[in-house]
Amino acid sequence: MDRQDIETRRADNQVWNGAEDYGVRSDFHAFDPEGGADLYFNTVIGLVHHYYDFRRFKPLFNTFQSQLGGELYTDLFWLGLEGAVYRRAREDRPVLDALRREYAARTVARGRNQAVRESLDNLRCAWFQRALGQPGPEDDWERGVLDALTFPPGLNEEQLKDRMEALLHRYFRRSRRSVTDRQWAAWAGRDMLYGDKKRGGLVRGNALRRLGQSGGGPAEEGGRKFFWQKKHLFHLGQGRTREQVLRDYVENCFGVSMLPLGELAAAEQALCTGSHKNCLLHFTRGVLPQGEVDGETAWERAAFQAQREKNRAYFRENLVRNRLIIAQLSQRLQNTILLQSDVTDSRARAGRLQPRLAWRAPALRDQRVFLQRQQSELGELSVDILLDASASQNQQQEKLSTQAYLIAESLTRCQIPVRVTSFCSVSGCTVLRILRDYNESGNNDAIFDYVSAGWNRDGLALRAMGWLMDRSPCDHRLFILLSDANPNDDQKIPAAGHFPKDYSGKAGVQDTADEAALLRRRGMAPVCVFTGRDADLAAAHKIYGRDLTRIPSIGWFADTVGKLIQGRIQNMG
Amino acid sequence: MDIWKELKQEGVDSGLLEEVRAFRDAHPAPPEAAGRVPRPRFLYYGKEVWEGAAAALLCGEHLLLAGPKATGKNVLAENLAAAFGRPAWDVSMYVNVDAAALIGADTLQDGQVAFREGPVCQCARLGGFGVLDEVNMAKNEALAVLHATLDFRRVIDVPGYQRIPLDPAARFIGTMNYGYAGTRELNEALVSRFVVLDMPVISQENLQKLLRQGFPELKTTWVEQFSALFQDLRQKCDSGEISTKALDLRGLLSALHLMEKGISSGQALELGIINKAFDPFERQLVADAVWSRIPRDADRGRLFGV
Repeated sequence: MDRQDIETRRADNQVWNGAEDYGVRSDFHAFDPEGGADLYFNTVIGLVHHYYDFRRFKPLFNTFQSQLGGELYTDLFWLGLEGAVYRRAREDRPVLDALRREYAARTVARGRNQAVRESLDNLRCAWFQRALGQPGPEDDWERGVLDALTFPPGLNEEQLKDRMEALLHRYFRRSRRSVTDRQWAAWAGRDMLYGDKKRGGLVRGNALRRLGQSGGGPAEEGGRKFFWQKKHLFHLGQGRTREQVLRDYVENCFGVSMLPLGELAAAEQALCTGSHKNCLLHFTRGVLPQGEVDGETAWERAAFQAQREKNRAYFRENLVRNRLIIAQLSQRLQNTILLQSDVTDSRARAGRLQPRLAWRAPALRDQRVFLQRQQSELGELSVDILLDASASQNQQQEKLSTQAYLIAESLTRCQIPVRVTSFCSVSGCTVLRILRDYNESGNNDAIFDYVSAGWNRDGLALRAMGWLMDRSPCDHRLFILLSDANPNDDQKIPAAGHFPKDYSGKAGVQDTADEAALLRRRGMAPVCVFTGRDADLAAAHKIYGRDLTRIPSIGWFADTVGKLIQGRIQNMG
Repeated sequence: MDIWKELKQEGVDSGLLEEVRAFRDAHPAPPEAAGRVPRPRFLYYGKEVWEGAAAALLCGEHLLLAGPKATGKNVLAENLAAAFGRPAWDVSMYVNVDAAALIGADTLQDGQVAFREGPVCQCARLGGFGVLDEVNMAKNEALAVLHATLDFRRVIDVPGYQRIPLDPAARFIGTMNYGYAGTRELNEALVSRFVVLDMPVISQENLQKLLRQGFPELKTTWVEQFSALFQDLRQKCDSGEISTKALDLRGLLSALHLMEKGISSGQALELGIINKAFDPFERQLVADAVWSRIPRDADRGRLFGV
């Protein structure tokens, strides 16, 4: 989160402090000139929600939005509400006196602009001079506005609005609202069809599904949602594009290779064998190459960027829930790690007598002839999270990136090194993008750079992850996969003397299951958080066996994932 | 604090209180442990919980007090020991606790191997109340040693030594916060040896009583504001905005003690509550919640005084 996000969140909390209701979603926040959330005014905003039915004020604020001078009217109305709610709440919350004085002093210190008449800043200054009990010089107009803005106690929402409209009419020559205007304003504040729920979005286009087509671009999104399934990517059949063209394309879209050429060649030689013969690999950290790119690639990059912003926005929208999940999951994991850490015996002056050491007491005056149990640290543990980033995840990219973030952040809080990688495949090249590496504990935000595109050759991805994890220096390695267990690649499985088989359906599942079994034998059993459809659940079980979990709803996330990871950590002991 | 007077005022069943007095008279605290009988400063407010706990102890049961943070588990345990006139042993459970730490262990005395009693043994022998604090922090293997102690057998069998029968007045009170960091599920065998009291969250009314009792000179306005602040913090925790670190009743009481001693409200609340949240953003949220209830610069004269 950047500073603006943090301060906005803080402002929300200040509003909730006043409202005493965490369901309030305020359209208004107050910030000081340095951008910090303002404690007094945000508390006031919350108090307005607490003491009044804020929905009744909304139509008036909505009207202001569409008017010249609306910003001034809005701020002025807030000044009036500040006064009204202060007088109403000061009994219940005596601290308001001190907070108001501090706020007033800061506002007054900014001074008046003598050159400008009838300005909001001057009105605000004069308003808070009154609050300090030191009224400054006020001309007749200012005095009239401020007097009218000092709403008498006991007014309800409608009366406050009427007073405000009368004030604006008299001092700002704003015409009173017509019936139609009022109706529009009331309507504009409502989400008539959807209530509080978000409107379902249109099917989002997916960048790489359009590869190989002329044109591309947002205008073509609608009709292309199943384009990738028609295997139009590069029109390969079983043939291959020229390797360099493909590699250049992949670099431009996903980032330059993180491996030197020699090392990559060695990796491909070791990994692209058997069912994955003729495939390529690309390991990247997402650093894009410098220089100009063609229009189509530029458009793909822009589409990726837009998705990344959506991922972050989705997380922020559900920030409260997400923070709670992180806290719950961290607690669970800390507990497991604590209980799983080894116990060693050491010599002590009290404990269980060790006959073999007893002679030392009389002979050497060494009283440490007892054994005591002591806790030692769990051997070093690293966790890898692999995200299926194929186009089949297109509809849930925000959800998937958030889930990965929740796990990674919880593990980070337990000081467990975690690496998050996504994979997809493009025309036979399986791309593994490291979003966040073991040592980047402050970089979990990069997980939201996850975007889905292209195909998924799960078997090769598992094999490549095994190769990457072999390089981890930790004693114990935990491998979590967020996947729909639906392998599907346009690069077929070669078969000597036979027609090549599609890498999908039973063949794809079998290949992935074989690779998962291999990893299990090597002590890197993949644990799958299933993100797919019911129909693919059987395939998921075939691949991952018991190391599989499904999240019924996000509320179960911490519990379910916690248990899954706990089980794996406990097996390490 | 006169605990009998307070309990009477709380409306705790007088018949039950009579039985507690009778128990107390029948089992005077042994002189060597008389100094361990607690003198509580705070009363646990909650009539039903008090009655349930006292009745269970009178029936010879051991108690497991289960509830979230700041529900007064330890205050109740201390109150019960005081009311029953029992010496109390506080045993803080943690993951390294083993049978030796609870029961005792061998040691050398004058060149001889001798058994050094642990707190559970002492408590059992002297008829005390053993408070097993955060009982679910310990491993089940370590607690298994208590099974015979806690069930109908009421004995501690130390290998190589004599069986130690529990004094008829001895009781054990476990406290636990389910789901707390570092805790785990208690096994059924252990839970079945306790009666479990689900500790409710302290109500505004009871918190105000607690504050008035602990700080009789705290002005009514500020009693209300401090209790509202605690409620605000709990609401913030429940909403997932902050962790439970700052939801600390002990910390709030400590801060009030500091203010009573003349430390300014700002500094006292930072020490007692705000600084408990180590994450800077969380600390800021806690601070905002605190300052939206309590002024930073309030001195003793403003807060206290009848």
